[in-house]
Amino acid sequence: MLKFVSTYLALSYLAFAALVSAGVLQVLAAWRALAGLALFDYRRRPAWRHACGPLLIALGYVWFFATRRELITPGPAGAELTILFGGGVALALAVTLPAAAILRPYRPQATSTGPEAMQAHPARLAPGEATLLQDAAQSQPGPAICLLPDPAAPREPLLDLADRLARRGWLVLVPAWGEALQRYPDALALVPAAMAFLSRHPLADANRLAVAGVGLGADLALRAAAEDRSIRAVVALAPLWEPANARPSLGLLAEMTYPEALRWGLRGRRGRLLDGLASTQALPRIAPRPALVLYGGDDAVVPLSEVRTRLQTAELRTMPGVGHLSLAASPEAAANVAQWLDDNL
Amino acid sequence: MLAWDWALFQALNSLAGRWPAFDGLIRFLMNDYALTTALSALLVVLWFRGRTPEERRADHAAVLCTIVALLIGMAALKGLNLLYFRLRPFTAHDGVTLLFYHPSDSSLPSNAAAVAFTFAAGAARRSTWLGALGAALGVLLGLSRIIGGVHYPLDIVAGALLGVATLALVERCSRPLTLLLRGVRGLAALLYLA
Repeated sequence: MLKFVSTYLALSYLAFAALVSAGVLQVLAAWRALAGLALFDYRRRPAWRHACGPLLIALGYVWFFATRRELITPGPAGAELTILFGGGVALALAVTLPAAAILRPYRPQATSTGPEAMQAHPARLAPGEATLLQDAAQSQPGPAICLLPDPAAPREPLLDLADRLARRGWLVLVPAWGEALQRYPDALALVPAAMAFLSRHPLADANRLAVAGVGLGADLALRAAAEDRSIRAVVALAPLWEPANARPSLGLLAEMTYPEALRWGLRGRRGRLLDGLASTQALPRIAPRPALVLYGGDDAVVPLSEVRTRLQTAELRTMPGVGHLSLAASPEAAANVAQWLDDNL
Repeated sequence: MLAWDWALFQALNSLAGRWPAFDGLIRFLMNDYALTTALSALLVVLWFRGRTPEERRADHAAVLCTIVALLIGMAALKGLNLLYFRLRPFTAHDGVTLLFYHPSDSSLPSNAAAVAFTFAAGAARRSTWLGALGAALGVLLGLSRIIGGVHYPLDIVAGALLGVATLALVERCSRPLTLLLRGVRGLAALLYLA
């Protein structure tokens, strides 16, 4: 039977455990750069930001031990303390997760180098809207690419990659992945429509068409390339491959806040889409056309060890120090993709 | 053995009652809250620290093994207390300086040391430095309990061995825990916490 000896002491211990746990969560957020738990942007100096966690822990200890006089009298039993500590952890999470979502210190920053020289036009595809980027100075047909965003991730990082490719003479089409297309097999209509648009465009060389995607967009790119022989090269940035990798997980909180992680799952549609797209089976059908699969070395969503065993017909590159969501925003990844596309198409 | 145990206890307990600040520090270290909370927090670190899905799976298995080992260790300790009851030093001897309340359960093995070293061994399974931190906290807890007059050194050693042995046993027989781990991780994953 749980007695807790003294309600006041038990509640005090619960508050103490919550403060200590909140401090530990901030230490973890600083140590592992966990966006979903961070109250500050710990990646930036000054060093005092790293003191937030230790300060909360110290505050908990000072408050509890300076104000409680009954600490060397019989208190709650071990099992009761365990329950109270668990409650403290739950309380700390219940406060930290919404607070991190409100403060959101790891907001993705636009890294665009300035698309002044690029022309961005809205384009109309049968299944929805798209953005077309091209170099204003371009007059001859050149390579063209369809860049597929992840339906739940911000498009800005991908537009940066699009801008970089457009500067290298690529005609770049970035379709919007609207909610109506976030179902299987409806999603399969997106790439053929984009490819049809590009192949008709006067500045696109129909023999130099490529497709690239990020996250779920990468899975769609792989599947589309397996079925469309006019696609001459594929780049997949952090594809998810399996519904298991779309399940809610702590890995998402490494790069997103809690509400963002909830939205990322697309209310279960992401897993169903992955199941339908079956990009794992699509990959061998792309060969001998060149395919590049790129991951962040710190990808907390997809197990890279499993990816390495899966990839036999595609080139795998990893970007050290980059995560799953931050891959598209990584200038190194963008430079890598642009160079690879130039070399292979 | 018991003579050596008593002599070591006397040497350490003689430090108590001399300096109020030192006594305060020992009371802070030996109570049921300060170090046990810090040791419990090691499991929170272990649960959240994994960078990759593989790391997290192994870390969560270690946390679960530690919790199961704690439960089994506590049950084993109760059973041992029924078989053998050792009086606390302050009950068995005169002249012991006591900085704590009068615990009435058996002195051997030390409950606190068993808990502390289960945590430490569980953390060490996945991280050397977390394990070393846990062991350091366990040693501090054990020493403070001897200085504070509630345990003999042998009680602490026996408690530590019980904790480490229970964890090793749970690890060896962890196959039945696979289903439990899957269930716990599944529930936590619903909240994006696994």
